[in-house]
Amino acid sequence: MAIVQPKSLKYRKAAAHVFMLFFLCLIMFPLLMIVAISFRQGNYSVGDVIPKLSTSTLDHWRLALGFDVKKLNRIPGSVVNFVNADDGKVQMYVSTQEDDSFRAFVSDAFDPDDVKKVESLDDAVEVSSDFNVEQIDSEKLADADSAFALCKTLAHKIVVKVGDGDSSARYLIDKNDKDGTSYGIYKETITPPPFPVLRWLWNSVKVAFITSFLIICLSTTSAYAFARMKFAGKNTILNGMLIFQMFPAVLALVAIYALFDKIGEYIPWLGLNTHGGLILSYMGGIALHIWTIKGYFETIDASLEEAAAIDGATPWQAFRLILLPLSVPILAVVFILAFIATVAEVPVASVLLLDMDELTLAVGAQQYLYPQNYLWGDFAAAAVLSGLPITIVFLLAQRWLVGGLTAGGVKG
Amino acid sequence: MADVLLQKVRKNYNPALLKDTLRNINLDIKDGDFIVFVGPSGCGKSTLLRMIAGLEDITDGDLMIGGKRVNDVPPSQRNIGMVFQSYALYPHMTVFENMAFGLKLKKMDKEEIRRRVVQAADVLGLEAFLERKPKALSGGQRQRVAIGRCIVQNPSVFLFDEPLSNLDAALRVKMRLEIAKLHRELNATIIYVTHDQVEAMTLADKICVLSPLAMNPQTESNLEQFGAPLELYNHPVNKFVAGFIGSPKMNFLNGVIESVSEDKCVVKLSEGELITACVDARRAQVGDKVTLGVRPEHLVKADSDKADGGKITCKVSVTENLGAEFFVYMDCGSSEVGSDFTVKSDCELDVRPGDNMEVGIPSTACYLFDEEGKAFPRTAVYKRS
Repeated sequence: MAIVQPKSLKYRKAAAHVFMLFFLCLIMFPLLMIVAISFRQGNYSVGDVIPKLSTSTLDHWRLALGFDVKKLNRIPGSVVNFVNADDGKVQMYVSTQEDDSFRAFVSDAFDPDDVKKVESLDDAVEVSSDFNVEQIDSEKLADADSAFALCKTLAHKIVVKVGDGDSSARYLIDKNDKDGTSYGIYKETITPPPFPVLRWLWNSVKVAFITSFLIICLSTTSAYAFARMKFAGKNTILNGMLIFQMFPAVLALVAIYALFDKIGEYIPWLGLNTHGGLILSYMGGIALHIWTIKGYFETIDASLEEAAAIDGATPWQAFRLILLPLSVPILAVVFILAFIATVAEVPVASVLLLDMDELTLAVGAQQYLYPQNYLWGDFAAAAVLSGLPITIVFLLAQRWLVGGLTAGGVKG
Repeated sequence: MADVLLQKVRKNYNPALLKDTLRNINLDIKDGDFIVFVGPSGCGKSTLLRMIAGLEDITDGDLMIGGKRVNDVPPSQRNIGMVFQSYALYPHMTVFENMAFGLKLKKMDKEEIRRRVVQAADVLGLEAFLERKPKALSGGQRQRVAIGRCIVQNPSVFLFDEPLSNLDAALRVKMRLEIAKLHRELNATIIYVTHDQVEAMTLADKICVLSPLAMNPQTESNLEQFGAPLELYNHPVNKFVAGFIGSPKMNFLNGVIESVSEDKCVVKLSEGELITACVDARRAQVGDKVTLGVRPEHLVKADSDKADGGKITCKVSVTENLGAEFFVYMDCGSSEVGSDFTVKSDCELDVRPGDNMEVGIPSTACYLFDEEGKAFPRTAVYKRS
């Protein structure tokens, strides 16, 4: 910029910068918001934009990444009694009125010295009890006080496992209870991930990669034909493609559904509820890519291919060895565009894919939002996750987004 | 090495419009000849070259290279090499790869490829640049790489499509000499398209002058003349060739034939001056309309004893002094094209715009054309000094 500018330009430039920064913040805000929601406790859409470290949680992310979420729920109205058993061991009597899952249980006899090591739920020494009792024998409680005192001096937390296998539940008995008068009982609740989010992510990535690759293959070859060859109806086809592309695919959902239903009867792997069918339907949207690549091809001097033809190259060799290496930047752009569009596409995928395990992430993430319960937090984590492959593809493709590839080949 | 023979070649890009680009082109190019195609823009000279290369199909007629009809043979099998106006180097390949590309496609032995490329680079002075990409080369070097890419293929015919038009003046002179040298060394048939007079006159063994068919759609052929440079200069077959060959352009003056003899003809110009020309115009009648042509460099001072053909007087409009040459542009009432009349002189003339200047015309320097533009045979050729 060597043009001499008037002084007032400086202020206008500054104002433009301020505006741009403001605008950037504005468009970045929703992203920041959704990241924040994914770290917030609970599934609410309102709250701090920047979550406090003390209240933030990874639970939504655990669920999104396929891990169980364990929580401790305090069971109100519970009573814990410790009873002396033989050999200096202690038995624990727990009873509650308010939790239906158990009325009361008596633990095996355990050594109070073991219990003192208990620090957290997972590395606890479990004092298991595999029976529920309806009623606690009141005679057993006679000797309770000394045992209680013993336990109270030694153990901070005691974990009790009730039942076996899948039906087992763990209870944490914490003497550092808020009430201070008694031990608090917390039931561990395990929430398994409700949806196969990673599976969806993999589906998205798989479909997007294959689609983008096929779109590149199709659109470069057709763009080559449109840019370099002379044939009847070329302009009509080019314009026609553009016009047809103007109708959103949503309008044709019914047709697409019926079409793939029918295709599936003959070619099962291209039918409904298959990724093959979804990819095939995405291949229909390449008109804009053809236009983009055609425009780029036209900037490359045709004499390069003529020179290659004289050098003995077949049209295919001229295309592959000369034109394609020079078109890498536009191919990278088209790949990224196609990838983003595919990862973010919802309407067609939601119609073509039926099974929970076959969904793409964009479609699947909406499962978190059902009218009775909007699980904003879990949804946010899945949404951020779906941005991940796009970001990675973009970062990888960036090295191909270089200018000046054709420099020096022809006199400009 | 091969002869190139064109017989009744016609090119029509759009058959629906019946507008030919080239019509009835007959050329017999001998092995080892340096042929230059010249003509104004749109005359089809590049098209003709591309047809020989096989980059355009031939609508009608035959093209023979080395005695074989190659109309339907793809470019790579015609054994030709072509240098493009835009160089058309492969930008993503090094100089070496550029030159080796065709040989690699032919699956030639790697050692042989290297030998040939290095040899060609040696001839063209490109050894130091073999690992560079075209981006890092100057215009002249790029052009040499483009030539080198042809040489390694060892073609029997070289085709050059305005190869020097993208270079600056000094480099153009240098490359022109190099191409002349190359022709001597390779002794190959070269067909060269240019619009540069100097390139055509200096390089060519024979020049082929083409005219745009759009200018005269009914004409039988737009190949105007095919011959040695000096033949075209001294004995153009028609007004088009006379006007095209030579720089500055030949002056044309309107007139009618006053008298005719075996080796002389007197022409009365439209302003009344009588000019004697050494031309055999016996096939014309007295009173026929003719055009008298005289080259700017052949005009002499009015008082010179060379001015035996006659004199005309014109008003000077612009003068240009180039140091070595002196141009006077004048308004002339008899002139056919507008009112331009140009004089080129070796020495400075003492004239100013607005002056009237008398110019002498040597009778041997005159060209005469009939109403259709066909030249009358000249009986003498003007010798300067």
